[in-house]
Amino acid sequence: MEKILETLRKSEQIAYQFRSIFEHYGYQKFRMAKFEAYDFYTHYKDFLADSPILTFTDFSGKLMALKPDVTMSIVKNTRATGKCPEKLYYMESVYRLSREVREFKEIFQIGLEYIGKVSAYTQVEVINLALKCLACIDENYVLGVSHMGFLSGFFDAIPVDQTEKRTLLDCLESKNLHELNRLIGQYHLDDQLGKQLKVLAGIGGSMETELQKINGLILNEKMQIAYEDLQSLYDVLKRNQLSRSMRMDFSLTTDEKYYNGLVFRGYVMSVPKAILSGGQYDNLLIRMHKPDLQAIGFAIYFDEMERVLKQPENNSYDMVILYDDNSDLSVLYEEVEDLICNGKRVYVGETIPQKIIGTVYCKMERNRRVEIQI
Amino acid sequence: MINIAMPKGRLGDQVYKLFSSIGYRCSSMSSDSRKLVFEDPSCGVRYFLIKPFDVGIYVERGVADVGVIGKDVLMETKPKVYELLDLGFGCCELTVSALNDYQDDFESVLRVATKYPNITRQYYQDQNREIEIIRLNGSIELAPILGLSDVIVDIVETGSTLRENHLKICEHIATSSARLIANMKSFQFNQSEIHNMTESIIEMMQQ
Repeated sequence: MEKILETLRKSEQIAYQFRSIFEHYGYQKFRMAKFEAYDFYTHYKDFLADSPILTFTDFSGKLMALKPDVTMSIVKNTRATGKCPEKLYYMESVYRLSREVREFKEIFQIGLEYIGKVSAYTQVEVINLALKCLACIDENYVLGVSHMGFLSGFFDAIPVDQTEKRTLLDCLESKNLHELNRLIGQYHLDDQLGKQLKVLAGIGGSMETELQKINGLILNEKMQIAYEDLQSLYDVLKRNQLSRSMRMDFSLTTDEKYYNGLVFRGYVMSVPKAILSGGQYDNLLIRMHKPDLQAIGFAIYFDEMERVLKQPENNSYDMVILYDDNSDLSVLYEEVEDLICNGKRVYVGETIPQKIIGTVYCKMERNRRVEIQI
Repeated sequence: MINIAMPKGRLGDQVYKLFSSIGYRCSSMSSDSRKLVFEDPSCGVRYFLIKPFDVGIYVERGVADVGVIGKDVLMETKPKVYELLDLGFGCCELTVSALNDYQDDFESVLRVATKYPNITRQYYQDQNREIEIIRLNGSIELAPILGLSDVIVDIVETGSTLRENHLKICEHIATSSARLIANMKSFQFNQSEIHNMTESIIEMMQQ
């Protein structure tokens, strides 16, 4: 088994590790078709961030789409109830427009979804699994954690309209304190709220220190509940070594239409962009007519990890065997099977392609293998 | 080692002066050289000299940890980066300009020459104005003179180029200055160094 694992590509090894982690924690694999009726996405287009969808017409004339998203299909098909949750993971390709090249890309994702009633323990479990996944990819990793409830509670308390709120959130997202300062004046926010907004924008450190800071910002019940979520998450996870890489970061503001609770984003040292993103998305379930359910999950983007997962072709073999018309193929076959059973990598051919490198080179002379020099 | 993406040219010289004054000196740095990478291991810094429009790409993709870019380019290219500081220099205005005797015909499609197609599209979309964008890479002022466009959208520093070519500013779109940006991943892993860097720059700017 170990030999088989060794021959897998890095991306396959990581996928296998994720799968093993998820299965150990009671998550089951969700399989789905590559296509979904286009009609389904037109109802929930605002969850797809303006990304166009690849479509085609099937034999019956129905317009179909290549999936741009997996979570919506999982939510549509879920059989979870408040008392009986579903714990699922998926390994699927999605088809989206690449921001850089303005072309459609097939993006491989592995993700995990918990649908049911999201308890404090569920949050701990999902964050813990996100941390474990990051640790599989690179020992240097960071998981940034924020809370949409906290941000939404704060913006409920300040007198700005939706456009102004979006502009302020953009400043938080880009850690743009100079623009935030200017907007505080332009929107005539009072000194106290302005100061609190600047503290919020500066949140970006260890959970312990930042929890103390945000405790002083609480203005209403929504923020209090969000604070307690974050505090209880930290209280449980602080005993775990993995949690040392957690940071509270309110530049993580994401889409309020979708997320309502904890949101998180994962980085590893070897990849320049975030490779993991997730959160609690009860708002999607409400929109999809499942208001009694809650959900939390995350996805890991393999396209962002290409650089770290790239590896050269392995063209080295323990033995390279040449044969010709005079070779006894039955003996050759038995020899090769025997070597492979003993864990050797063997290349057999009538000629040796230039890129193939062998530790030992042999030739089949009738029914006998003879070592040769190349 | 911190990697800094600097815009080539006059703005780059100002940027290097600022960074060297807060400890990121690089003994091999020379504006006369044709080299594009300058490194000083003793100061833990590596500079890349990059075309101003490409600085955002280098930082977004993590080749550089931080970089300096004009707000005009930031608005146009919208890289996913943190915008940490307004450095207060390299100031200019992004404007709509036309020939001195130009009079707009609101019933016709406006022909706009620019190297900022995204900003231009957004600006006129907000005004519900139908336009035709003519994408140019330089000498934008030439376009209305030769009848290639009705107006231009471009940056204006002193206005002397406009004046010399008989052009006038018609509308103001935005004000631009140099901004310090950081790669999101690098910020997570080098928080204290980047924080110290911004604090030192703020101190230097206040002097």
